[in-house]
Order: sequence, then C-alpha cells, then structure tokens
Amino acid sequence: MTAASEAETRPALWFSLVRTHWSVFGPWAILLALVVISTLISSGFLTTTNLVNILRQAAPLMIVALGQTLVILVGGIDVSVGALIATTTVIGGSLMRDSDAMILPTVLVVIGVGVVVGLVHYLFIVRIGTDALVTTLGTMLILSGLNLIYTGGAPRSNVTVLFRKLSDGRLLGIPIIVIVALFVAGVLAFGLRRSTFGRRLYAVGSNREAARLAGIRTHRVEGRAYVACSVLAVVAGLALLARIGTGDTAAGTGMELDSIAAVLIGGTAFGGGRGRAEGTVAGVLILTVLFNIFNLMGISRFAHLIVKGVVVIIGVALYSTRKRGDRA
Amino acid sequence: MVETVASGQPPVDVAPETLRSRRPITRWTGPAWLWLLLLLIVVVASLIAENFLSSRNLTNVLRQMIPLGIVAVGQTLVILIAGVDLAVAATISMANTALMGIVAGEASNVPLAIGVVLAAGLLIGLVNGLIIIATRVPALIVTLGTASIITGIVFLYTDQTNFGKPADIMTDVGFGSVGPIPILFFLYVLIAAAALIVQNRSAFGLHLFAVGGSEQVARSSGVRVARVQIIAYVACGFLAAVAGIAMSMRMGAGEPLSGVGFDWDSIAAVVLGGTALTGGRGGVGGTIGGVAIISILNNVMNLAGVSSFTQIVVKGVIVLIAVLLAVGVTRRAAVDFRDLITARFRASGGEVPG
Repeated sequence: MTAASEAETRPALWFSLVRTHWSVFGPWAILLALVVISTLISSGFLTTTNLVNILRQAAPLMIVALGQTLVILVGGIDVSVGALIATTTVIGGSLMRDSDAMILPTVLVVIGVGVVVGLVHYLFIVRIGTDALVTTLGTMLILSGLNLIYTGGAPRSNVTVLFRKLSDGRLLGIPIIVIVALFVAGVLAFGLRRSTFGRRLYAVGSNREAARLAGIRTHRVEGRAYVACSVLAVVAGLALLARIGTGDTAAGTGMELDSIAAVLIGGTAFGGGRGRAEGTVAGVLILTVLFNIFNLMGISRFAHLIVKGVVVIIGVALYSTRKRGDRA
Repeated sequence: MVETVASGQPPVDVAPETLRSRRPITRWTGPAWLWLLLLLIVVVASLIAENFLSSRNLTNVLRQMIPLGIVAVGQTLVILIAGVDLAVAATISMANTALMGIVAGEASNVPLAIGVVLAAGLLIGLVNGLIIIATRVPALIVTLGTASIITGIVFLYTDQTNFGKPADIMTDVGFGSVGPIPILFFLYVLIAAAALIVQNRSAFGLHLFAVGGSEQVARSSGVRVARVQIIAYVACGFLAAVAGIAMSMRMGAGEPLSGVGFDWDSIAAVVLGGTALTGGRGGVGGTIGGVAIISILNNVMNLAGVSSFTQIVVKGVIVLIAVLLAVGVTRRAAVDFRDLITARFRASGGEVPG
C-alpha cells in the first residue's frame, strides 16, 4: 500500500479517537446533550434545587447499578436486586421501631441478609453453575413472596427521624445520600482500575478459563461480585427507606431492570469483561434526567415507559461492540 | 457469555442411523425425568386435595394451562436459538386490551379484532428480531426495551383502566368444552403439535438447533442465521398474541396488566422442561411437561388454600429447582450438540467446512 492511499483510508485522528473511546465518554456526551436540551426546554431545569433533587432521586438507583456493574462485568446478571431492596425496607421498617438505638443493629441485620442472598447466588451460579438470569429470578420470586407474607401486604412504618436524616440531612448543601452514592462510585471506579480485585474482575469477565489458568481463583472473584451486588442493593434499600420512611413491599419495583439498563447505557458490555463504574454513574444520571425533564414538562408517566424502552435499546446499540466481522 | 470454540477437535463421525436412534422419543416428549416428576406431583396432589382428580377440576387445570402453554411454545423456539423474549407479557396485555377494545361487545367485530391483534403480534416479533439482528444488542435488553414500549402504549390506549367488552361468542368459546376438554385446549394441542413437527421434521427445526448450538458453525454450514432468528422471534410474538386472545375468551374486559408474569412464567416452564438457556438443546416436548407441572402446582395450591403470597415463594423454589435440573441436563448430555449437528449435516449430504 502506498503512503498516499494509506493517508486516504485512515480516518481523521479525532474520529478514530472518538470511535475507540466511545464507550468511555459516550455516556457523558449523551448526558451532556440531554442536559443542554433540558435546559433549553425547561427554565426550571438548571436550578440548584432541581439539580440537587435529581442527584437525590438518582442516589438509590446509582448504588444498586454500581453493584449490578460488578456482576455484569464478570459475565453475570442479578435480577433479584429489586426484591432485595423491598426486603431491606420491610425488615428495616419493622426492626427500627422508632428507636435510634436500633439503627445500627437494623443496618447490620439487613446487610447480613444481603450477604446471605449473595452467598446463595454464589453457591448456585458460581459453584453449581446454574444460569444467572433464572437463578436470580428464583431468588427474586422467593424474596418478594416472603416480603408479602411477612407484611401481609400492608406497609410498615417505624423509621426514626435520625435515620431519615440520611436522605434529608445535608453536608455542605449536598444530601448525605448523594455523598454515600458518590463515595461508592468513587471506591468502585478507583478499585476496578487499581486494585488487584478489580483487575481480576476484568480478567474473569473477559475469559474465565484464561483467568483460571493464570492462577486467579475465579470462583472467589465471581462470588465476591455477587455478594457485593446484593450488599449494595441492601445499601440502596436503606437509602430508599430513609427517603420514603416506610417499609414497602413495592419499594424497588423495576429497579432490577432500571439498574441493568443504566449499566448497559453506561457502556458496560453485557457478557462481561468491559465496562466502568463511571459509565454506570452516567447511565443512571441519563435515566434520571430523562424522567426529571418529563416531570417538569408534565408528560404522561405512560409515555415515560415508551421513551425508556427506546432509550435503552438505542443507548445499548450505540456501543454494542460485538463485531459484525464474526459473520464470516 | 464466553464462547468456547472446540476448533482443535476433530468432528465426531456418527452414522446417521445412530443419530436417529440416539434419543428417538425424548426429541418428541422431552426428558423422561420430567414426566416422572409430573406423575409424582399428580400422585401427591391427589393425596393432598381429594377433589383434585374430579373431572371438573381436571377441566380447570387444562383450562389454566392454555395461555401459558401457547406462550411457552413460542418462548421455547426463541430460547432454542439462545435468545429470550421478555416482551411476551406486554404482548399478551396488548392482545387482551386491543381485542376487547375493538370488539366492544359486537360479535361482528370479532374477526377484525383477531386479525388486528395477530398482525400486531407478528409485527412485535418482527421488530424484536430485526433490532436484535441489526444492532447485535442482547435479546434480553432489546425485548426488555420493546416490553417497556408496548406497556407504555397499552397504558396510553387504556388509560390504565379496564377497557372494552367481549362479545358473547367469545365467552361461549372460552368457557365451552367438548366433554371434559375445553374447546381452546384443542388450539393449544394443535399449536404444540405443529411446533413439535416443525422442530423435529423440518429443515427449519434443524436450523433452530444449529443456530442455538453455534451461530458461527451454523453460518459456515450455510444456514441463513438471520432468517432463522427472525422467524423464531416472529413466531414467539405471534404465539404471545394468540395466547392473549385465548386468555381474553374467559375475561369480562380488557385489563392492561393482564399479561404480567407471563414473561418469567414462560421462561420458567421452558427451563423446567429441560431446554438450555444457552440454546441448542431441549425442545417443545419438555416445555409441554413444564407447563403442565406449573399449572398443576398452581391448581393444587389453590385447592389446598395456600395463600397467594406463599405461592410466589413456591414458584421461586420451583424456578431454582428447575435451574438445578438444567445443570444436570447439560452435564449429562455426552454428545456435544455442535458435533451432532455437524454430523447430521454430513449425513444429509451437506458440505461441512473445517
């Protein structure tokens, strides 16, 4: 090939940079575009109150979605998180019993529940080798059934004022719940990149067998991802409990699918091995901003569903990285 | 999911006769343990609830089986090609509300309504299939997205309230029976039989397994993968619409949430029936057994007065058992399906590259 024809076929530098790194800043570009459009559409959008509100609304979903990111990175999926969030609010609401002294024991109990659920997933999916989607579907059904049996279907409200500070309270003007979510995001973003566990997570996700041959105890890595996901779902449940103040069997409904959507919109590949915690943060914000602007514009909540579906498909299609080349 | 390509292995040489005799009956019936499990459940059920074996109750069981069975047949086709369709629940709600809305109590509107609903089902399946092929986004996500879109449209259409009215002829068919067998059960039998014949006796059936076993091998073997995938999704969308129509025949109005749960239930029935979610293994025969088990368990729990909350827990336990059984099935399958397909192609005189 001559130098001239090579120069002709080579795309512009900025274009190839955009293309190779699209899954990294693509979500942020979409978010930025969305923010610009929202600002133009609604004057109420770009106010401090509204932005803080968006972050507060986004916080529980962000925490679950970060956990979901870990599971999807190792090639799994967890659809039980929504039910586990409901379980957390139900147990939390009934254990706290209007007593500040009970906050810590309650938190420990629900985190224990999260660990147990994560270990069950570990046992089934990682040790026995069952399908992740169907297994977590099973635990989802069991958890939501138990929630209903435990409460008899009625909400339970015994959350203390102090606990609700998690949502109401502010530090330097930022709701505590947002700080918690951003802290989790920071830890994961840094940990995935720099920690041994993070690197192993990518290794296992991109090629389990190669990772095993390289001496990584893949079972342990996958197990930790599932346990972390369940525990983060519990933390999200606590955040939600602080916000709504009641144990509700319907809390967390739809969060399993929203969290998966956010992870994928954030550029993490379904099937494992590629993705970032920052992308998930962007994915969550994209969804939340979208719903916020709908509310501001007074669009029917039914139309939300339609747009959500469209956004999920387009969002994921934008950086679907499965190459066309494999159709030989 | 990581795909392991056994490129280093020489293809297994299997004579066509051996292949034909390898699992001659289970290709039609599904795994034997499934039917033993069903038998066990029937025995236990008749011991727990004395009126379980009454002909009236058995008619009821058959009736309850119809919508789930019809969707699950469609879901089986999609899962066989290593896909999944989460839009079936929304499609059923769509079929139910659109049918009732168009019929609006007039018998003369019934043919039009059924035509529209079936066309909508075909369209949904076509859109799912086209998006999955064109964008290469995982089927789970695409159908999740279309499910959300369809639900939104149904809610907008009905304003989330009960909607429309059936014609008398619909309820006559829905509640009618020939002897102890509900009329619509024949529809289910017809669909299941047709699917079984297509699966086991047609080129398309073979292609389903080939694509599910390995897209790449199927493609190199000359299977038109995209077409097989689209047909599977179209069939699934269509059957979901049929299930919605069948279900509507026994309802007094269109309910926007009437399809809720059919997505996971149908997947559970398929998995319980021994079809692998990774594709290429299993079939409609097992699904029929899986549907029977789920329907009978629901019926027995109702007879025994088990609360609906507990029933959800039991359903979860069944799903976990099913997924455990599925692991056993996968492990016991000694012949790699890919090799089986390769051998069958060779047996039929086809060229098998590398």
